[in-house]
Amino acid sequence: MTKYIFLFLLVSMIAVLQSSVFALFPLWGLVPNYLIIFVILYLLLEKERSSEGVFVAGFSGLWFDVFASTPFGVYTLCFLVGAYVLKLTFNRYVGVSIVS
Amino acid sequence: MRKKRNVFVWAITILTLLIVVSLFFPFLSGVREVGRAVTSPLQGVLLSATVELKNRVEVFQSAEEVRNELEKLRGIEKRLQVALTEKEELKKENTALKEALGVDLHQEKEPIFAKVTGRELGKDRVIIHHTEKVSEGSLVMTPEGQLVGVIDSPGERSSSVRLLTSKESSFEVAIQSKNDPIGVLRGTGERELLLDLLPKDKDIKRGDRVVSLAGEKVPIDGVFIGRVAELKESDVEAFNTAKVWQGIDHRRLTYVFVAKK
Repeated sequence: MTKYIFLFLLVSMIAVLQSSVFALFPLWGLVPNYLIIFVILYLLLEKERSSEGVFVAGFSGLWFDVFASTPFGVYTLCFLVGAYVLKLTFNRYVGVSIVS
Repeated sequence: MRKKRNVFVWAITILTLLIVVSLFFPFLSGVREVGRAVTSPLQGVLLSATVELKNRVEVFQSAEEVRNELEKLRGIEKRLQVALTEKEELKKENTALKEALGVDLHQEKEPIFAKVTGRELGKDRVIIHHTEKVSEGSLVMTPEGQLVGVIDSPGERSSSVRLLTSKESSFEVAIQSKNDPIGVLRGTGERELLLDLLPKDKDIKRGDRVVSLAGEKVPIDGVFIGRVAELKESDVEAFNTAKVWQGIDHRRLTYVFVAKK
């Protein structure tokens, strides 16, 4: 449970920074979405049987919804579906497990 | 694993249903409001701190640019100092030669240095700022000694210069090395000048140097004006005309010299 709280706080922090600080530091004219990068990296590096990555994606989608003007929940849904697909792909074809 | 997958599929289905319902009954927008209210103080602090930091970084970067520019200018200053020393030596040598040849030093007058400060709107006139008093009709030249105009309305510290390109400008000129008048030089309002009333029997070629001829409007002889760019011979007209190219962009003039009358 502590791990999930920590992950939620970490994702929240990245989301807040993304919506305030990172926008002022574009790289080659573009602002990378660090939240998406974090989700993809987490999904890529977590253990095969772990489902934390999907939760991380859910939290990220939730924060996206907070800072967006689309109908609430659309991003959460997209992140969850995307994370599920990525998880299946990574498990089948990549298989790097560093995060426990 | 299968159980986990089922839970996940159920979660996604419920969420999808919630979103669809919330499109018609926006009860979930309250969550957004709460989320934004919680994070806004932190975001505000972070944003202002970042902007402050970025401003400082930009100031630091521009300071770096200024420093580099200063280094370049120091290099130029050194070169100029060397050139100035050489000029002083040449001046001394020149004075010594003149003394030896018995030339009266007081016959020559140093030109007045002036800075171009602006341009009169809609007219071929520039405004110059000078430290010494100038008189009407004095010649205005580039640092290279090429004639660009004549003082039109003199003032104590700033004067108006009527450029040669002005349509109001016209005076007699000569071809260098042939001291007799060959025609009248007129401004066209463009960068090129028109050499009018050229006698047909005069041998004038493209590239000939056009110089001033002392008269009513121009007080000094032999000041370089430009080169003949194109000769227009006419069988019908009594005189030929020619285009004179100065090769000066008057918009870029920054410093000029005013010849004392």
